Amino acid sequence: MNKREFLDELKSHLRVLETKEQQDILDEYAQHIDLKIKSGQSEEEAISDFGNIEELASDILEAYHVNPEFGTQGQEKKEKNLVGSAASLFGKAGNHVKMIGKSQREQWENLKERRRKAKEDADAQETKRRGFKMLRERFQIIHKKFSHAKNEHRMLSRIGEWMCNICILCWNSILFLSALMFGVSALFFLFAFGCLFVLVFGGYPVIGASLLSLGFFAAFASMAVLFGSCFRRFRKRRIQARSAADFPGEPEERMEE
Amino acid sequence: MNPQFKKGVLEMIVLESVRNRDMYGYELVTEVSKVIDVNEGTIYPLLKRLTNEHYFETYLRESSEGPPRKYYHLTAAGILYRDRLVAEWEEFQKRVNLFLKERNV
Repeated sequence: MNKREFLDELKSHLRVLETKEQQDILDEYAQHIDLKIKSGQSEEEAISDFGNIEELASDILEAYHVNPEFGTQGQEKKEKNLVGSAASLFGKAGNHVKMIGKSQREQWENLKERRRKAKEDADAQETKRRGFKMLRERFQIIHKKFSHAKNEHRMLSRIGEWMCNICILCWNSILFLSALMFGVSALFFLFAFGCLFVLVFGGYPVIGASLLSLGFFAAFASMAVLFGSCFRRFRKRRIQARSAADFPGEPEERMEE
Repeated sequence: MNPQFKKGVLEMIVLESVRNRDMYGYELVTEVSKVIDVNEGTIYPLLKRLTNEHYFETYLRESSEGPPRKYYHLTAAGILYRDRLVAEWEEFQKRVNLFLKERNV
């Protein structure tokens, strides 16, 4: 076994420790091996002086008051122990039973660990959900505060809104009336153009008047279309604005999204 | 030597080694090895434990060769602990010797 392998294996046993502590220990051993090599020993010898890596690792973990059995694979231990107990008598057989018990305990610990993780995940989700709820509640409180504080303003704004609505109504009715007027005029000039056109075919010299009425028709029709479109666009925008103003009134709906 | 004997006095020997002069890990291991033949690997966990229990302080110092070395320094608590261990050891060995002498007379 060379230095790299030794350090890697030792590290794998010390995973339970913080990375900084692991590095601290590994540095110490690496330096020890380096110095031994410098004093004339071979790499192999230097490492074999440390003895069994697992025992060494469990010594280190004990120094941190960590249970060395924690997190190791129960199965591995059991197998190893089977070989050991085959070689000896009751003492080791008893030990074997103990080890099986231990490995089962380890599995139980693993299970517990897994459960704990699952619970933590659930907790994290719960916290998230609670965070959302809090946010929502805060939103509602702000909204309420806002509406209380602005009560007077609300009255004024309501009056303003009313006036606005009246203005809009006036504006819309004016638009509507104008559009209607222009529309009617356009229809009238279309009718006049039709009549004059027939008269032109009859030999009357009213070609100028018929063209004039055609022009008037076109002008009034376009005016009617313009007013009509204006009227429609105006209403649409008003609806959009109102729905935007209504939005903060229903924070729940927004939160649910 | 009986490994149980070694284990019992190892801590005292390590503390005693560092008392007069701060040492780095390897130096300390060779120092201890002069007195008792011990698995070198087991001294580091011991140093770690004694450091965690504040009997040692550590600091890094550059070395002329290789990476900086971690030196161990005995704290006041470490000195008191060492004194206690040495007193216990003396008491212990006196009693054991006395016991052995009485039997052999």
